[in-house]
Amino acid sequence: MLQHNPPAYAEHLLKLTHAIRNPEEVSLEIEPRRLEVYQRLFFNNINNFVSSAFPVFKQIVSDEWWLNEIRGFMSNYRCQSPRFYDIAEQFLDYLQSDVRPSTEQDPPFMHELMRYEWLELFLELADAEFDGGETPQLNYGINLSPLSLLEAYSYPVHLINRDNQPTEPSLHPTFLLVYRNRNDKIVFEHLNPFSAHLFALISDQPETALENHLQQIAIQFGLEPNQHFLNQGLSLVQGWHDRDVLSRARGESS
Amino acid sequence: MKTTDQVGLGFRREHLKAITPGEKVSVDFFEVAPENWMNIGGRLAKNFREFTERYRFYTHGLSLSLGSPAPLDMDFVKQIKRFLDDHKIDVYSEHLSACSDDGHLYDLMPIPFTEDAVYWVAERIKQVMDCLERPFYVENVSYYAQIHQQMSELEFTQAILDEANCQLLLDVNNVYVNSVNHRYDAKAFIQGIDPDRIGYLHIAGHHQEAEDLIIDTHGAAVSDPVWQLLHVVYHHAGLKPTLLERDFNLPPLADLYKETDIIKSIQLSGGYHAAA
Repeated sequence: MLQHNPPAYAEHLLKLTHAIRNPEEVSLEIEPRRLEVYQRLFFNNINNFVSSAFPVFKQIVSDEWWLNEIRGFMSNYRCQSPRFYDIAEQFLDYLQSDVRPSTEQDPPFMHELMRYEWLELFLELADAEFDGGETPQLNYGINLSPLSLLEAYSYPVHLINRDNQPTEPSLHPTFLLVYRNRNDKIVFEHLNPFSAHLFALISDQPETALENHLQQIAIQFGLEPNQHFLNQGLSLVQGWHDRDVLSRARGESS
Repeated sequence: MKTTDQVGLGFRREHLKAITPGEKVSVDFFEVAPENWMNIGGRLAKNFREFTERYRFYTHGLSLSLGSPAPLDMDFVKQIKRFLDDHKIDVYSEHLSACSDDGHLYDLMPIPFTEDAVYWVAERIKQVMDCLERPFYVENVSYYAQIHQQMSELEFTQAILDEANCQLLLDVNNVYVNSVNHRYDAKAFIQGIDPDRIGYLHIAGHHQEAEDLIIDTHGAAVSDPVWQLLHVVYHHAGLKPTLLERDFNLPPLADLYKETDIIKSIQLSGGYHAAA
């Protein structure tokens, strides 16, 4: 017997989910003490998963702010992933979404710091493996490991904590290279603007020869693309290779 | 001493460190929630594989939401199938409950005990079994509030098993929890289920919050009345694979083995005949 329309019992189940998502609304259907068990269990479970992903940020905001956002996440947002590991990412998505009521108490660096914290969890569990990489050469394209990311932040997220909370963005962006190496360790590396620019070019055009990327950057930075410059660029990329930032496939997208 | 080969332990991340892969363990199988181990890479995935290559694993799902009125997430079912194939795992079970409406809530809610829910849920169970092509059990869940019912929990459970033609993972602790929370006779509930439908058992500890309210926490040792009910189940349905679940307040492994040894001794003693 195949039913295509939602069954009639759904109405009763949806009253329960509504009451779990919106405990401030009075429900007349269920004994309050027993309904509160559900409201408490569901809230604590989700709060635990989200809290464990953002230890630094959670220290910075008030408990009231935090609990209010978890409550808002449950009532205003609909998680689509069946995996518990994805709850934290969906919480980030909620905080940046239109369904979140506006608040004036957000730290200015909120989104950046939370993304920075979430990246560690993300890379730790990312379903890809380091393949050994390939020695870079000037006349070939360079492929980056799928486990490496370039991040640009307007706040120095790696320095933020309870006692150091910037109120204004820095004059210069903070570039961080984040990757998981062959030992499954997550590494955060500070990049200067030149390295960050090169990394971004390689990421966008893995099939373009490294030499061409370097020539383009030399022009942009007003430098002479001589052999010394090219060798310096090559040695920078060689360093990435040594630290497991590159992938084996060369000159083609992986 | 003969063995029953039928005692399991819920596997947690903490066990990756407590157990050296390959060492002799005091149980015959482990069980994981696929949601916590599927589609991942890195250290955790490698460590996990060292265990599935050396020990027998069952899986016990959390997010399928068999009782949801929304369409079944077949992409998710296929991902589970890949996970089971990948780790050569045969057994998969899920809860007779809902954990979502139009979004996931990551915990279990009771399904209203109605006739249309029986047909709706049974249809979804059949879809899952068709896709997975391996043993599939549905589990009776603990619940704290009755949201709507046209029939008893026993009638509802039995009707789904018959309609879907599937096996029950009888959670003995959940029977006890519900019997207190909803004032029914736990022994009569167990004896009311067709013994041929009972294929697999869970046992766990709980937290008594009030005289008439128990929370199914998996955070304490198994209580005496629940051990007594395990005797009743064995007498009613015969020996079945039985797994100890412990998810919170994790004690040292040796303490968990003491409890799984109790399961084993009950299975070996035949003493369950007298208990019923």
